Amino acid sequence: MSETLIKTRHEARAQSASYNELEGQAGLWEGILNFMEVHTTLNLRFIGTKFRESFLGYAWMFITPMTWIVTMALVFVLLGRRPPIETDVVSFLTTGMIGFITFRETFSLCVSSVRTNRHLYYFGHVKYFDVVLSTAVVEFMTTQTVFWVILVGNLIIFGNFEIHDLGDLLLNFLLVWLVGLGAGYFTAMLAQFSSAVPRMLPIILRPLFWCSGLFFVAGELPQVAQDYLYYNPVLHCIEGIRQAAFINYESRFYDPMVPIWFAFGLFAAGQLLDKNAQRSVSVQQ
Amino acid sequence: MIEFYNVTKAYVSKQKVTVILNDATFVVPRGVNLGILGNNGAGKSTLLRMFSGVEKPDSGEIVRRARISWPIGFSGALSKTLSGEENVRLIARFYGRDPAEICAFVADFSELGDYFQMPINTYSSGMRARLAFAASLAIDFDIYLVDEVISTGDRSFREKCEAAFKMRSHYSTVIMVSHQTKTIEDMCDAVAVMHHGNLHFFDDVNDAKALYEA
Repeated sequence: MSETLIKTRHEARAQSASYNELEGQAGLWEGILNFMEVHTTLNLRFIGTKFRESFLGYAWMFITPMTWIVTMALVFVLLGRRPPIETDVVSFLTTGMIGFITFRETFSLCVSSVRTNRHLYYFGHVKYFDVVLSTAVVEFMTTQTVFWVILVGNLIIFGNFEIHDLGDLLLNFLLVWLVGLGAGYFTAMLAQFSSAVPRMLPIILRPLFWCSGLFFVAGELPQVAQDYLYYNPVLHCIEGIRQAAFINYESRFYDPMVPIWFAFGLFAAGQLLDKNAQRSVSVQQ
Repeated sequence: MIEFYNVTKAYVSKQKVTVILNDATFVVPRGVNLGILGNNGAGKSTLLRMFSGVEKPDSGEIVRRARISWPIGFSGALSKTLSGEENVRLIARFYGRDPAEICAFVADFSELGDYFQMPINTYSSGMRARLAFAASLAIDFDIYLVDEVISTGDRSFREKCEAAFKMRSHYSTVIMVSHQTKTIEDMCDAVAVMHHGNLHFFDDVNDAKALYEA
């Protein structure tokens, strides 16, 4: 039996000690550069793949939210209902719909990305989190494009356009995106331990669609409902988006700390699961 | 080098549990070209994925201290909607290499001509394999992983692949899984046999054959 191949752990560690010394000198800066290189590459790949797959796939990202907005706008008109905020129906529905879609798409695509991109792990530098983060970044750019296209369309067709505080608006979109990223990362890592987890996504997403303020504002709800929905981070984000978009709206419900804690907590739990899932394979290059 | 510490791996198929490794501890040092023999279904490809870091052990620890290739000729990581050139550019960026230099090598080696600039979903399976082989050989790795084949395509391209790969095997480590002793005999200087959840290591391929063919 080959003596060269079988060593004790102690012998192997001693042989690689000089390698580890070099590793230690590589430093933080190289780590940051490597992280950025991997993410730029993944983003370029995901953008290239996403927008070339099929024209229908590309068009679909506009069709889905616009169908919902047009349908709900018709429902508003038929019921004689006016938006609870002093603004036009399309702007009101767009802020809610795109806010929710930012969360939903980031969440669900992050979950599926870990499995659909599994071949990328052959490239030694690519880890679960890299794939999840890059998927989320591309999704944020996509949903923002859809948002601004619809707003410009509303301006051209109906002459309505309202953005009160652009910086605050983008921050709140970023917040809802972070909640989607945190939830997606956590769920994707949980799915490493049980394949049943992704099948539970619709159970979470369906009720959220109806109780995240897409078609109403939190202040319209009875106090008891507001108390329960206080723990819905997406509702806070949509309230924040509307407060930033419409000069006449100030939400008393809005508390940005709720989505921040949700995103942070889910991200930390995801990291813990990720470390646990990958602990048995370490790469030291 | 790659270090396995008390690694256990098993998978279930058709109600049957196959143990690939049972509490295995070993080290593959640099410079040793290792061939791993195993019958069909023994878990050779799974073991190779464990070397590459894609597959995790059920228990134990794997430490990789080298730049390790994806399995030579593996095309699964190529995006079908992107062109051959775009895919190769992205691979070069992943490994911190100059995309122009790597693309020039792959375009020349793969002999794809104008197809190199076209989406991969327009390629035949042979063209896809040529691109994947050329891309595998374009990046310098410390360890090359081989799942059975080191060449593809027609005779002249196969010979080109084999020559290029043999050259790399002189200054890099090769870990090859196969069920053919001849291939391993040609390429490797140490042999392991997968047998009932254990890896038995041999310096002499004839000793390995005796266990493998028993």
